[in-house]
Amino acid sequence: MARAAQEKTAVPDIPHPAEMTVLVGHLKAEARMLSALRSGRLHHAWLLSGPEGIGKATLAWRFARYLLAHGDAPPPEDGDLQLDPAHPVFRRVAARAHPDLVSVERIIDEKTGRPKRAIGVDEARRILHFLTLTPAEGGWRVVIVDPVDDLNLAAANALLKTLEEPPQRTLFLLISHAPGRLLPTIRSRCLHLPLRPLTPAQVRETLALLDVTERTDAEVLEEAIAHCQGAPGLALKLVTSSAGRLFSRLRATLDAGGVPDRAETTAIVQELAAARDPHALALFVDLLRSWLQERAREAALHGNAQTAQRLARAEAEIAHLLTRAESLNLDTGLVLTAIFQDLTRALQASPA
Amino acid sequence: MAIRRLPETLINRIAAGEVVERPASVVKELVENALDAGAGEVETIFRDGGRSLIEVRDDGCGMTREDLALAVERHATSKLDDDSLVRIITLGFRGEALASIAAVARLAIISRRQEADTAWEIRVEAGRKEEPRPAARAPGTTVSVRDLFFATPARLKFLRSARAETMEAARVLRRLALAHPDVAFRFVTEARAVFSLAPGTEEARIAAILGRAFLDNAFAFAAEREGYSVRGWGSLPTFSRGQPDQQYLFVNGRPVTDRQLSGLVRAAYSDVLEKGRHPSVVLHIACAPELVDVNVHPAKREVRFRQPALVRSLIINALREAIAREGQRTAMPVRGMVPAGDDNKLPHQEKPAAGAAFADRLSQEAARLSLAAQAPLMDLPPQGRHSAGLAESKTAFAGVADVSAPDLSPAGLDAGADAGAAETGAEAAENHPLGAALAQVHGTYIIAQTQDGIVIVDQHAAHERIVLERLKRERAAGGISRQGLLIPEVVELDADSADAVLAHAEMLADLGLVVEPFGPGAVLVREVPAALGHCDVAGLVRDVAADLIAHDLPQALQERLEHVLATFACHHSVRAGRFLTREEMDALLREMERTPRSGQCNHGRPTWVKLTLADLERLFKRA
Amino acid sequence: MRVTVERNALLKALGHVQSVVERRTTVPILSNVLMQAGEEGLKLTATDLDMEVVEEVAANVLEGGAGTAPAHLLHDIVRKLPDGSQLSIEQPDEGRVAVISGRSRFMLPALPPEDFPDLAAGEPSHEFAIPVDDLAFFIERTKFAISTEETRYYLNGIYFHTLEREDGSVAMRAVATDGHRLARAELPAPEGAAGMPGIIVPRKAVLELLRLLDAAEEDVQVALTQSKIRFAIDGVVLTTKLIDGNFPDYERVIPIDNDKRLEVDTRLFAQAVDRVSTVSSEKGRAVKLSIESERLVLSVNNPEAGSAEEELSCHYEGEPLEIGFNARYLLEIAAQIESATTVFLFSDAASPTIMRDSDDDRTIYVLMPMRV
Repeated sequence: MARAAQEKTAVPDIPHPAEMTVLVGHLKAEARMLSALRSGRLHHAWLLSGPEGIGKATLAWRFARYLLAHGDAPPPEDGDLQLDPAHPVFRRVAARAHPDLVSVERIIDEKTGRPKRAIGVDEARRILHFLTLTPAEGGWRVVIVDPVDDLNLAAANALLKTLEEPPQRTLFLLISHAPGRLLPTIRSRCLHLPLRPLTPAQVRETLALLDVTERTDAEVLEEAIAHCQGAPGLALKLVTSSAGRLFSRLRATLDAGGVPDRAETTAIVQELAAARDPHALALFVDLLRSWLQERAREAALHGNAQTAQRLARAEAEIAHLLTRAESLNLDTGLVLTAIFQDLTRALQASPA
Repeated sequence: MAIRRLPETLINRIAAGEVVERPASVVKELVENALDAGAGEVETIFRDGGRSLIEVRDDGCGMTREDLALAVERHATSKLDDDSLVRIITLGFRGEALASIAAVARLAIISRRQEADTAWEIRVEAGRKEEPRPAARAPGTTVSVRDLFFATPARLKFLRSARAETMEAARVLRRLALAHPDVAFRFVTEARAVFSLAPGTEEARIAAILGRAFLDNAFAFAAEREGYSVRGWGSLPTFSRGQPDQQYLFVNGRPVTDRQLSGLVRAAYSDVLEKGRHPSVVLHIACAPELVDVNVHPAKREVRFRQPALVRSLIINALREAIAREGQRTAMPVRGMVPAGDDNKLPHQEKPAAGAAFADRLSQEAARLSLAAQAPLMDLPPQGRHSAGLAESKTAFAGVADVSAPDLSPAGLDAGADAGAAETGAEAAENHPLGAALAQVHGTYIIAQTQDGIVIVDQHAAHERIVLERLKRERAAGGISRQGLLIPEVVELDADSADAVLAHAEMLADLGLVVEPFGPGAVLVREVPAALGHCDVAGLVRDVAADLIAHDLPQALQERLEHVLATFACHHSVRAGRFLTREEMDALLREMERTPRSGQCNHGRPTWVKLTLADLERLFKRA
Repeated sequence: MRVTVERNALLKALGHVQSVVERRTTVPILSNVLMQAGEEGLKLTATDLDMEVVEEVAANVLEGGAGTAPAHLLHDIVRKLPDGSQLSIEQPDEGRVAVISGRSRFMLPALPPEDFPDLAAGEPSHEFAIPVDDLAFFIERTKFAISTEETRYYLNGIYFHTLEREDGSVAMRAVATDGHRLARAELPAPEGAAGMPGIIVPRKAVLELLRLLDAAEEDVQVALTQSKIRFAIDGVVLTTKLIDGNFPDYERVIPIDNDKRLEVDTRLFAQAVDRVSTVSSEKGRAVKLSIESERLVLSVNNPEAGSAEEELSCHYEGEPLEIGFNARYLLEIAAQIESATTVFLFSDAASPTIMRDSDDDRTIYVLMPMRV
């Protein structure tokens, strides 16, 4: 296996969910976990679903830490899943060095600096190996897959068998951004726990708790909260990544109904390419795509089928381009240029 | 529903043809009748492969005395409304079945209407009908067919072994059972209950028939258009089989084995499955009766749709969409290389096109992006940076090779020559056609340096070919050696597969695989071909079973043997992902050079490709 | 933390602990060694999360505390310091560990010791002391038969358990099998081991243990918790997780009434097997044993490379017998047999065969024949 780094830690300034000390919202979901612990019949596999960046993984790691620290003894009536960040279990889990927890995440290929496109069967085998051995502390073993959507088929199939016949005292926490796309067989073995986006107030609270607020320009912060769709994870990326700033500049043009000119796109391309941060490119393109999707939906709602179709097609083109570029290791700048060509074409063809 | 004689016009519209080909077709007709009669439970009894007795019992609506008398006459049927063959809803409908059976066997029917207090029995022998007489039976119908083909001895000769006929009948019953999950099916022979399926959900029935593993590895799909709807389950491309023996097609609940339909399935999977692999599918097509003609084939196996093009695209699109949806998480490799390995061709004979083709592909991708600038297009992969030194320096990759060495588990030292000798051997190896191994990448490919370029070997495919050739040699030389298992392994299969494996136990033992029965749907493996080492025994047996079912033809013995051996070879010990030492890699390369036909694995994929220095120079625009 | 320690002592300890550290790990703290300075000296810990090795080194502790540093790097540095030199390890700040010896001074990146995993916790249910030779005997006699095939993971280790013998004494057994052959070693159970649950010790830990036993002298202290086993060997403590599975009922495959008895010179037999198997191009080819009273013929027949035959004198009672075995398996078992004579017990050419040492009934090997 190539030396690899966890993707989320690689994004500067955003704590990995394993290290996250705070969770805002999702009280109902946490209550369900607590009541499952109280009932004495903890289901072996949970599927935490919802949009990206709303705190699914944070909740999963929180649950994992609690279970590893306290076992499945019934928690007190007014208790929560919070564990003191100084607790040895918290420290070890955060360091990814707890012997009874294994997490499989999308990893960055250190050679290319880009995230690998899928979680492969080698990673799934890591889980299987982990489960062939007894728990070091004699208690529960926890498996986290974040996100389960990224498992390739071979990996998903390898995992299925253990989901079907799980070893004793093993908890699977599967995170999914798009549960509808999962293998039905995986879905059907899990207790499904859908999580909702946070309110703007909750996002604001999260950012404050993470000490982001005072370190960020107020205008940038509000803009991030307004455009993060209830996902503090996205809000964090918007304030920390150059991509967020660059896109809000572009959005100003786009929202005004304009088509970005050559100078504007060139500036963006240059800045993003210079950043040498694959996350920045990915985030930028994500933002652009969701803008296109939103506009396409709007157009469709207003009965403007032609525009909707054109925008949707441009979005799909961009997505396709990105996959091809990834597989061919293409240069960031060139990919972006091509993306802007697609975008410009789609916008110019739209009736003003 | 009362039975009436069909008018002459209708009789003429019925295509002529034999209904009764073999015991299984009798079973099909009788069970379809039972299902039409609203049975909740259907039991089929077989003796002597159906020659001495086929009996089907149901708890359906039953027949009156008058019905019985009419039922055994040609073109008498209870099932056609309005004298129209166009609206065909029920399964058996041509009014031929019982009469045809009665013509070639001794037929007895006992039946009692639900509301009647007595049952009636009628006997027909070689077409001669007796008068109905009272009998005892619970509501429902029992049809007994004794001494099939006693009246036409010529047909008897065409029957296969009792075992083969029983398996065929089981296959027919399973198809029907799949379409009727709410009906209990039992199939009993003199020896045992072949299967017993409780009524339940469709998924439960599918699991019982195609195996739990299918459901675990399948996606559901559905689509609808202009009065036609299709739905069902398809296996993931990764869960394919060596044979198309798990494709169940139903039209309005009627099992069909229409070749066109199975062609469509193949087409839908065409770009995600390699050649020679087949998906498992359960495909239901539903439409109004008048939109489909099921009256094409005497045994009703084929169908004709009013709008064939529409149905075709509906099926293909539904499957493709589902595959795309489910399959997009599979990382598809970029296939740019042109395969090099033809039979027996070693690298020095190879045409130097592979690298150029790869470079072309990259350029095409670039062109597709409609970008003018070509030169700086590729982010060079890391190895690329060494390219300048590659031609001159043999040691450029030596460090890489070392990395893989510590990963070798000591127990894996099988092919190891002694390490000291290999050091100097590597120099000499460059003079071999497949060169000297430099490194293993991704635990899957071996990179070797030859005098005029590099060779990339797919270690799994190459080893597979070598094992196959060894097995063939051993067989030719008098026998494949087998390793006994200290702890015999029980392999769970579906009933068909277990039957097929056991029916061929003798042949398999000849090939090194010794199996015994182990209860219904399971076999016990006692010995395995020694050439395979420690292999995944369960996987091996499953693939062999699928293979046997698909090639169950006496004349194809030789071909069948080859198939089984190839399946064996697939399960040898060096799978992709195992780390090899340099000595092991060199040993593999030398063995490939010794082994005939080692240029491609037995699925037709190449085992190695070569890039000459010229190719590499072209690739890096140095030429 | 501030300690001074003698280079050779530290090097030896680092040599022990660093071998469990994986060279390529995605978790940074796992490439580090944990150093804890306390009253007894300097304690070094390394782990790969499946097992952990701890060793104490005599040290002059000037200031207690704990720190971590990259294990392989530290090992390399200490190795290159002059023989017998003194070195001092200290922590100028949280993020760094300093190694100072003579005029050499190294600054290594450190990670917080609180993040370091702990595999040692847990109250043992069984504790006993076992002589080094006994434990080494168990492992050496059985490890060759451990399976490396992953689908039957419960065979990927050595199974240890105790049982009551007919005379009322308690024995301990070690068993390993790969499905083709089986090795079983038995010794009187150490005091305190009786009634311990059967456990499967993973192959990786077994091999590590054997390395540590190499230089050991004192009895090994073994402690068993619900899910781990701990071996204390001359100041080195190895703790490992166990394989979470059931070992098959191996007794059923050991034949008890094989009555055809062959006695053959161990060394001559092994040499002959080695010689005749040279003509088979693949290692997995069968060696045929043709046995009559006083005469054993070994033969290999390879259609391409020719054939080989060798005759040995032997002692044999029973019907003449022809039986084939994988040459490698024969050699591996013969290598376990120390006495001059090997005993074979056969039933027939298709059934499990027993091999054992004529002078030593503590071990028994079962081998399935190969057939052509």
